[in-house]
Amino acid sequence: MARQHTRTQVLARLRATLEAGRPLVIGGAGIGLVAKAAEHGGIDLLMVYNTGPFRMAGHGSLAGYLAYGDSNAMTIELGHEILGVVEETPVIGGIGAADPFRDIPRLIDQMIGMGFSGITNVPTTGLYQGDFRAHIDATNLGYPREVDLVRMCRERDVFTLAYAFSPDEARAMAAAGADVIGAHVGLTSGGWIGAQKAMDIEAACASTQEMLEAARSERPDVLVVAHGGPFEDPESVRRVFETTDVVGYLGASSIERLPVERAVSGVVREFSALPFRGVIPPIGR
Amino acid sequence: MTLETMLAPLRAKRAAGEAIVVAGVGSGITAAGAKAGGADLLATYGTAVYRILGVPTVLAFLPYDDANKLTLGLLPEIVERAGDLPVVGGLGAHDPRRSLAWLVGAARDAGASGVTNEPFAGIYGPTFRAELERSGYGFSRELEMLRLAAREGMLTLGWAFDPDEARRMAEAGIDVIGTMTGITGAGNDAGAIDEFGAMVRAARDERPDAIVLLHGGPLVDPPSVAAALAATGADGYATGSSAERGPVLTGVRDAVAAFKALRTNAAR
Repeated sequence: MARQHTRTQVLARLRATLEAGRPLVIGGAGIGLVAKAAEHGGIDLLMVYNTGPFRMAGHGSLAGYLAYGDSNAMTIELGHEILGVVEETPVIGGIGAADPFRDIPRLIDQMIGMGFSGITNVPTTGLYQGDFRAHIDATNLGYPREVDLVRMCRERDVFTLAYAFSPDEARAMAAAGADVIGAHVGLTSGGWIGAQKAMDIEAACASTQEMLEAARSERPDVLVVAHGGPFEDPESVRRVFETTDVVGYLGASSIERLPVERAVSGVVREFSALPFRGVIPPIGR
Repeated sequence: MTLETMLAPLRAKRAAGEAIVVAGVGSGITAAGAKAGGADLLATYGTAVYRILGVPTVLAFLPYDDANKLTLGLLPEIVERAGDLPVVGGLGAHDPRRSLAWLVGAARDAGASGVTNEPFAGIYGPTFRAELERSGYGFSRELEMLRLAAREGMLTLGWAFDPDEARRMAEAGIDVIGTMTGITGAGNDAGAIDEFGAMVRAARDERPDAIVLLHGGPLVDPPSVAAALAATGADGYATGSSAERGPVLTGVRDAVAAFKALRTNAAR
């Protein structure tokens, strides 16, 4: 069973990584095996949310943003699975704050009660745009409610990682007390079912830095990490580390979907390429 | 009921210049009301369920429910109230965990005479919708589902969000084409009428006898729908909130208020 950490303990662990000269690496896990492997790799923080099971079932992360399942129930179910196989790494859970049927403070209590060490705003309405986003915000259950979610967690001394999609959102989340801000530059590209039209890497780095500066101007102690778009592998993440002031990287597709796609197809190809001396048996009657 | 039996009354209405009305319903009682009002078809789908729950319908497109489960669960109750009126079930073709054939079969088994592509990818706006299309879970898959239902002899009601989608619906031989400009009560009137007009023309250019309906945006009541029908030449209107949420709220409010206005002997 995963050790449950207080907010102070999670922050101390993250700062210890940085003090040791290493960037933060944070990842989503949609199945227990990925959580175990990520912990072995030394991941700093694991996240559990509803897009994970879709990803690991071979679908796009976007499926988690359509109406084919109760995201908060999926996260709780997956949470039991992941918390059961992780040992020391802090595990945080996603709350979809636009849930029309659940009381958010009770949901926070329920998730901390089951062993999560913090909360993140997933699924987030920040992923929607245009008129649709405006309609969601008009119901009062949109992004501002996610900012409230972070504020409520901070009041309870619960650790939060908040996804932001613009400098204004990054600033609002910092003001609400988010401990880490994931500067989100869109769905992750790459692989078989990744986004096809990610932002180019220069623009993504610039956008990340703008969000970082907005968040830091509000609260200098906030930790900002890069996420999404073209940041899909260590090479592209090296660029964002070199050209912006982020202190880490947050990956979901890049930590679980892409490595599994590559590793499984690769090893099958290797087995298939082996020479063998057996002969084809005759066709039976 | 054969497809021809379902379509003949719609064609007769069109020929007589009467507006075709498809009523979207989320409960047995509103289905019964719509039938009594003379609806030509009933449709049921996840957003109608949310209306009845008193939740903003836009939230039915978010990941807090399984839209297909909502439709399949509600269908038997609506079909029972509908009697001989055909019921169309809204199915989400982007559901990654169910095959299109299974979905169509489940709707038919639950009593649906037809299928419609709701929830639709178009509601999420251009960027999100393009991303869904690229991953194979967009409008093309909605069209594929409707084609599959048509091959099973079911009636198809296909929703389009732009002229190209309307044209593709017509080209695919979809029986009734719904043109939609977004959530009811939103958007500017003149712009929306132009958008409707362009979709109606695109469908008719492809298939001159296509039955085309309007829904959403500024169409909230009979006068606004009458004006839009006149301006676009469409054959009818699909009701949603306009014939369910509003009437239920005002009807119940007025009934309760009328009882509250009564006085007892103690007041004399």
